Amino acid sequence: MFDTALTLSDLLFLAQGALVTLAVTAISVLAGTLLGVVFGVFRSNVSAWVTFPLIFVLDVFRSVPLLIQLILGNAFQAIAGWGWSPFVTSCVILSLYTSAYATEIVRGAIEAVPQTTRRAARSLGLTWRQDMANIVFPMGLRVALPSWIGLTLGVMKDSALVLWLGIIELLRASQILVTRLQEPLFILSVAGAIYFLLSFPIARLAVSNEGGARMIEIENVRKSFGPLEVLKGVSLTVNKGEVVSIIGGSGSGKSTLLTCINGLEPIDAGRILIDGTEVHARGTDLNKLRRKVGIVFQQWNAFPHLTVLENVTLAPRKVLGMPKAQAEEIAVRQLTHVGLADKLKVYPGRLSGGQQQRMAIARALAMSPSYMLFDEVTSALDPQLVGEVLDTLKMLAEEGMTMICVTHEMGFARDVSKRVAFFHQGVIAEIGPPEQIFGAPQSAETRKFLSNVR
Amino acid sequence: MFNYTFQWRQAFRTLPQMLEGALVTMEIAILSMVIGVVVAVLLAVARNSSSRWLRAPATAWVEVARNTPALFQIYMAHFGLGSFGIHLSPFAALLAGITFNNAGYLCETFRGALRAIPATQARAGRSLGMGAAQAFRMIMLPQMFRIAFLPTMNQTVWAILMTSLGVTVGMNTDLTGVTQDLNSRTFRTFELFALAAVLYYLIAKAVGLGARLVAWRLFRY
Repeated sequence: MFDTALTLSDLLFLAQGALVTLAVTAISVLAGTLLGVVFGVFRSNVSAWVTFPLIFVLDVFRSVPLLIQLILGNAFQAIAGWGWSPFVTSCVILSLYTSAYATEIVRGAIEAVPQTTRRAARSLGLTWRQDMANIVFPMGLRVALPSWIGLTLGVMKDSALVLWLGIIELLRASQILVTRLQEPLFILSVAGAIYFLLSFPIARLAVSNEGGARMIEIENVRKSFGPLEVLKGVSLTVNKGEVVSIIGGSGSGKSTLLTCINGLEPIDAGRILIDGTEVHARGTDLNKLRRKVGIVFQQWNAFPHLTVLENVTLAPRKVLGMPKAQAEEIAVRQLTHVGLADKLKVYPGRLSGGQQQRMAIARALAMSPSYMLFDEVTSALDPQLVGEVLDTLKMLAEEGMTMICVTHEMGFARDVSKRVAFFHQGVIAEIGPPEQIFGAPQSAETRKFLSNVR
Repeated sequence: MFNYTFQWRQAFRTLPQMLEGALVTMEIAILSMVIGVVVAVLLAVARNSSSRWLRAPATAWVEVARNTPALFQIYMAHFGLGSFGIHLSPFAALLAGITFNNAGYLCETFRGALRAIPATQARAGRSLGMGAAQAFRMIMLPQMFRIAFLPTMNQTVWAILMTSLGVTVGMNTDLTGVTQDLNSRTFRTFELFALAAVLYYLIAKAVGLGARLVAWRLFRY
């Protein structure tokens, strides 16, 4: 079927088409993004009553087929006697089309910056312009980037339509070759492959950039206490939003791993990355990193000389430098969340173990961590108090908190975690979804351990 | 500049023909969505399957659909299949191209929706004595439906806009095709296509508004 080989000049012809595609895309995305930033800033800072005409026009660009827009634009410039070339017409229309989507992206990014953050910036005396440049722009860029890459790739694919105005871009070039060589499937596939190669790697990059860097990566970590090697090469990746339970016998290294993750213990070999930052590297600001990782221990370590509210507001105020009122607002919210709204002024000594443990959870949450580590948080509790703490953990998991829980509560591990890791003698003997670990364990150690705890 | 007399009256006289074209446009969009949803569910199941022989082709479908132009996909159906001696009519090629595209995008929507429901939900259902299929149908499916609903409606709007591409493979019965046909006879390009643009806008907005009404009525929880 593929007996007609493409000659070099045919390939060059296709490459030329691809260049036209890239040129149209680049010009339109650049101009469209600039317009989108102007429109977006305008839209989110001026009342909707004023911006209504703009909103409407941009909406039209999103709701009418691009092909119709191109035909209309071309007809209009002819009527107006501007004498634009098809290339210029295409770029103008595609730029406006792009700006309609870019405006939404910019607006979304601006609105993703919390009002409280902006108010904080303004309260420090930053002008509107400084606030935009130093706070909103850097924070918004992060939100906008993945959608913007998606938009760019979309425009590249949509730019195929300019062939209707007689521009020989990639798809049109392949079509011309088809009429000459009569090998439609082969030549179109080549064109498709070029589109795919231009789009796919960038699309992948955008996806991995979006979720990939936000996780905990543990790579081949080793840790000894004197002659005793507690961790013998542990590797584990916990993605954002995932709940991983770690089970295993005492002394298997479970708790040690948690203290290594937030840098409380040094490690001997391997590395641990949090959101791409290496925990144990020289020059890593551990205090800053630990704000991202909350940890709650078996012993809740309540500060006995402070009330419940003070226990929770202490770190936000002293570490983050938050004003008292704001810290208390957050503390009350977190304490209400764990069901201690009525104990704000009480000293921890008057609370039950379960209540103190819930307070410890609220204390960690008040720092707005991205990750929570729980180290056998129910082990020191009376059996009748275990339930209330587990319910709190379950609630957190359902809210999408990323959690690593070292636990002896098999029921909890089974219901709440996405994956369960079984630790045995310093290594992860088995890891998998709870159905596998509890239903059909693969390793003999896991089976033995589970038959003992049941 | 502007020594051109707009002849709107003449364009308006073509409105009945255009509305007929709009019906064909809706027909193609709805058909491509219905088939697209069915194929997307199968693709989603295949992509989540443990067999590599099911996963690989489904992944290829999704990635090609998402990383090449829709127009390319329609060209493939119209010209490309010619290499196998299959010659689809413009209508069939357009339908095949858009359906291919819809299925690729919807597959990811559905997979995302499936992942968003915690497995504990199904287990809670099972614990009340429901069978596996029953728990899926009564607990998981309604929740997935809610998550996937608006993205699916978005895709419907995309499908409507994509039908305009049919004219490039000789389609002359849908809204764009009819407009182009009238244009080649009267040369009132601007007036005719402006009218078509208004119709597309109204259809797209009607779908968007309808979707929001349905969502508002259905998803009260």
